[in-house]
Amino acid sequence: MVTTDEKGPLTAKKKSVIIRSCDGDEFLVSESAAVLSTSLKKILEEKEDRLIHLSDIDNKTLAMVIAYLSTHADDGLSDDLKRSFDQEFVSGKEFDVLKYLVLATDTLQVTCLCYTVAKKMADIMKNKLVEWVRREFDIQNDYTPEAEAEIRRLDAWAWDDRQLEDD
Amino acid sequence: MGKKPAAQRGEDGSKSMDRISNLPQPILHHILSFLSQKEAIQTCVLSKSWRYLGSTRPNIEFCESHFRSGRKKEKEETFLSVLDKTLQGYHDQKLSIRKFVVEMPMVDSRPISFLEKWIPIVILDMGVKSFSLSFRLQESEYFDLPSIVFEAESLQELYLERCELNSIDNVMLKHLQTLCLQRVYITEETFEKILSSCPLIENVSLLGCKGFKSIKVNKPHNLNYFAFNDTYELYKKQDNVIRIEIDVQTIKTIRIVGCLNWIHHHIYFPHLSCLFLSRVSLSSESFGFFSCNFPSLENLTLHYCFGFKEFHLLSRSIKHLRVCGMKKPIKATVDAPNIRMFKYEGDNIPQSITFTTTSSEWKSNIILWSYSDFDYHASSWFHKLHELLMALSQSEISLKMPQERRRNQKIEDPLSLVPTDINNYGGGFYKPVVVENLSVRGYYPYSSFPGFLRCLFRICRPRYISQCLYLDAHSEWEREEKQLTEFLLVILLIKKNMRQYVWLQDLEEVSMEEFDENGQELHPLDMINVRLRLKWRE
Repeated sequence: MVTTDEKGPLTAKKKSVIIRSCDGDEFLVSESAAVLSTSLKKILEEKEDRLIHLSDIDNKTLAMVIAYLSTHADDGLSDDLKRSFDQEFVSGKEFDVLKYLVLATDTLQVTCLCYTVAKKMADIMKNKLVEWVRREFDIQNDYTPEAEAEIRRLDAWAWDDRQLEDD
Repeated sequence: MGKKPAAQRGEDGSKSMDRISNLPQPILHHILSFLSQKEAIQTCVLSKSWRYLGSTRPNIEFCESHFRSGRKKEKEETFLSVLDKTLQGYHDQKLSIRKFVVEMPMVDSRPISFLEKWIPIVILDMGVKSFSLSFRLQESEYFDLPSIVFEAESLQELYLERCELNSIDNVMLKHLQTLCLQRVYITEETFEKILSSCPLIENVSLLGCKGFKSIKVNKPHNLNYFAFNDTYELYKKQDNVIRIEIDVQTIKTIRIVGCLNWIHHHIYFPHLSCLFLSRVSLSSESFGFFSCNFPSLENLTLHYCFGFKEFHLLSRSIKHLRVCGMKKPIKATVDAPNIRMFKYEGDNIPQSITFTTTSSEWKSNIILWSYSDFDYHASSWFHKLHELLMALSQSEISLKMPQERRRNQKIEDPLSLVPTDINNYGGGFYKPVVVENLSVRGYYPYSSFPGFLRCLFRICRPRYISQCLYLDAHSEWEREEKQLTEFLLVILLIKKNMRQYVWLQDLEEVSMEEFDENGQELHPLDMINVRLRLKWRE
């Protein structure tokens, strides 16, 4: 347990840490919320520093992750409320927002949120034609038509019933 | 962020910077792990950087239904050869498989040799954490599972269906947390051996299994979930009574379906919070036992249970009580100071229910499936319903009557069925009970519906009325919609046409409102989200 200041170990739980995003914004976070991230927990255990600088997470993404951590650290909320918060959290977010979130939660090792976000990203791709996915995510098809046909032929079983939406 | 960056060419002009491909491979694998095997494989043609992503993700999930084209025999051939090729690919590249889910078709004996080859490799070399294997087999056919599955030290979850567990010598499932056996043939000894050798096991489910006469669950120290389902045997001979003994102090949830002899006496479960019993024989004494020995019980569900005519339940911890499908009207006394929700579902109205509680905010939900009693004894039916509502009047009541339409039967006018003395029953002084939500299926034809409502409004004052609908069948949709519109009109017109009814003087206002909380605009097709709001004189 970190006990660097005069408050002593008993109040350590209520202490806060400052987390700085790559664009310089600082966030005051309770330690109980911060330690839900395995990476932050490790940093806090190893260093006496109360200021953590995250060089690859921008302020908007960090603010979202911290909102998530704070909600999940709140003992006053029931598990049901937390679950519905998680659903709300990812619903309606654009793919690019989710992308930064999944990277941030991977770096910070927030396993549950990483799972929720990755699943949401997969849901966007589910039941979609390859052409839709390429268009939606600006994926440049660098295969020659012959090469693509050859790959489809190799895994013919995966292509035997295409009736997916293309909108 | 939030803006969609245009595809950019990298400096060498070869690689495009699109919106997804530049994510690190482990993250892409994680995302792909939520897709079906088929969808994952399809991503291989997206672009060159996706060529091998979908075919190297850390999970393999194959089931026969993914192979749709071709004849049965042909499909099964393809299934085996594709699975073989896939596993060979993982093996050659020394890739690990975290989750292995395979639903095998069984044509002849080839799958057996196939599995004998692959199971040891998957189990021992690929670091599998979750292993699920099921078979499409006939009743009483089982696949003789190689015992090596039980030597997988890394395994955390094991799901087996239609397997036979024989001669298991070595159980080394040190990390196993979840065991789910469905339609598995397993002896008492094997089951006990597995349980006693899995120190971390938390969840155990035995669904439709055979091969034992009794089940003892008393070894695991971390067990918190136990489910047992015997309904697959329900309509067979009943001399085969299975005894279940659970003696694990850590248990939090027990779900038992169809077991005829549950040995629970003299056992104290300090942490049991959820108990679901379906088709279980209980006695009135069982309830006294629940009251004393389950001090943390919060959720109790009695689903088609039998063997008792009345029960008395006293529990400080109970929050949700659900009684469903009682064959005969029961008598119940419930003393539950912290109740939040009482749910009653069934064909009949309970003989009597007495609730004692200090809970100030609780709800009761009554669902009466049919009006069978009503058709023959309308006045006593309303009388019993009134008594039930009175007993629950401290709660926020929701009353639902999803009556089935009797299309092929002669539809009788309920008005003629209800004796005129309903108005004078008990001296004509029914105290109407406030009901928050009333949901009715409505009568057909609707001309008879006001008669039913007339009686209902004598005993209750619904604040909202909506229509119960079943919209699963597409062909029914149009008809249901038309009926719904008629239904709403009938109620809206009640004030005009039914001046003769006593309760009408109390009804100050009827209005229609949308109750969908998404805030969408009212649209004719969304009539399902419309209810009537009734304002009664205080």
